[in-house]
Amino acid sequence: MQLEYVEIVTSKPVQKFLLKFYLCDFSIQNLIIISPFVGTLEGSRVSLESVCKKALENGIFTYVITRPPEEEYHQRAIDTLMNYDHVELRFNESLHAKLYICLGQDESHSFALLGSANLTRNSIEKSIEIAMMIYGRGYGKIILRELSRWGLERLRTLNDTKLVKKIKFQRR
Amino acid sequence: MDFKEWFCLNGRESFTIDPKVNPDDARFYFGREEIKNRIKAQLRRSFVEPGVPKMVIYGSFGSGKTQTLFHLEHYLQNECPEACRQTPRILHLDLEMHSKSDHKDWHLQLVETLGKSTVSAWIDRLFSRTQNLDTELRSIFGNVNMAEAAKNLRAGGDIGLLAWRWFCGYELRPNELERLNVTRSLGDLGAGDMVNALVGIGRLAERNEEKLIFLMDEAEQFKNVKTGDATESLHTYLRKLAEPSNSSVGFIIASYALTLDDMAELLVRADVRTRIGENNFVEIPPLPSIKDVEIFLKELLAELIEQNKAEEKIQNESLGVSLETYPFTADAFEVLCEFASQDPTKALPRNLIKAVNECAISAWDERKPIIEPDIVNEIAPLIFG
Repeated sequence: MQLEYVEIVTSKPVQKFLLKFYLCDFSIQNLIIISPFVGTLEGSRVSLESVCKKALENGIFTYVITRPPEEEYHQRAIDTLMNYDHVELRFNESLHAKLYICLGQDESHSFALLGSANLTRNSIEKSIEIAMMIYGRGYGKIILRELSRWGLERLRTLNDTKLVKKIKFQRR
Repeated sequence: MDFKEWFCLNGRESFTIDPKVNPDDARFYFGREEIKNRIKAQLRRSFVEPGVPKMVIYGSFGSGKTQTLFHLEHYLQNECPEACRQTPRILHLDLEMHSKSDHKDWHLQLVETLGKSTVSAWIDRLFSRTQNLDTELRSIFGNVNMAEAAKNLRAGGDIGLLAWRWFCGYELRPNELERLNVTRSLGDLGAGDMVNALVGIGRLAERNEEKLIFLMDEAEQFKNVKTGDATESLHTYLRKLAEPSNSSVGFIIASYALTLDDMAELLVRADVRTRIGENNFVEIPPLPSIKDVEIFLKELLAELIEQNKAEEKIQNESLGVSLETYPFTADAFEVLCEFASQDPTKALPRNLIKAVNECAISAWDERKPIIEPDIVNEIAPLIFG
């Protein structure tokens, strides 16, 4: 189902978001990944490594908020993220929300995914997930603004959101 | 203590201002007295001649075009120029154009933003004051078909909806036209026909002591239109709307463009430019000098920070910073202004606000009560580098 600015996604929502981010050719300002659990997504169509590489190559500042890793797969994803200068990483133990936002230089290119899916292979391959893809059109813009403010400002500054890794800037 | 309290924020969660999310933010227009005064002067003049504003503003992403539109709305609603004898009815819309969009799509967006209930209420009020609604509507619209359709807007149910669809420019079936007692669909005669209907609605608003003004954002969307005929029809629609004879429907169009020539061509064709007037094409530039950046930031901080609370905090905690630059130390503030001014194309309000926010988040991460130069040196290159 797709309305003017929102689409309900029931099949591999996270993969759909990542593919859209990976394949888009417009200028992106920020990528925001909020997911309690994060995997490397190795073996799936878009891996975490390739997302980070695209972010690095295009100077996209990437903000990741997740839970502190307890399992090995999660730790490996954290290790991947730690290797990229353009990534800011924060932990919040109480995190349950799953939100992914790609903010375009031109607001009408922005899109976000809000739903049940973690950034893991399980979510892509096994779990039954549902999410809403929101586009920077019509009312979607206002929703995107609210979501990005929540992700970029509110969640990042909660008392129990701990900074793990800062963005490191290197002049290109 | 949360982030908001940490930095004595004045009833907000962060340093971000966004009138789309928080309508009250429309009152802000930091550090740009000259451009603000120039636009307001043009607005005041426009109510004298041609009677409504017809203006195009342009600038890069983050230059503050949307803020300008919302601020102008705030200005018109709170300090309406004397020359505007009616109450401004201001309507925002973000233009959306696709490869085949034409004048009908634009007209539909404008009329739908206005809404059936508003127009019906105007006709109802007119009905309650007039002896002969038919004659009155004919004098307002100057066209029998439009007057008939307008009259039908008062009717409930099917007929009212059908009349609204007619004004929106939908192609109606012969039996539907018959029910409305009109001889053709709106737009059968071209883009000018639709503009005439919109201007008629503007005159109806005036009879109800209101002045119709559309604030249209994201006019760079016109560049999406790829079909020649569609572009021509959009151009005709704009040209007709810009005609000096239209003194009832105002518009301020905002477009992303680095220069005038960078805008969608239909907005800057000679015939449109002469009708709108060269003075009514206004660039919203980046902040031109370090002084402007300083003023912008100081005004921003003064508005977003609760001054009494911050002063108390500065004293109680012996922070050694002035209220004027709080939560930045004087040195940090200077460093930020320098970074922001290095590349004039990046000295944009959006970037400055982002820099303040990110510096504050960084200080918050380290539980520092003030922002010192090391934080600015770390954050500013991410934004202005």
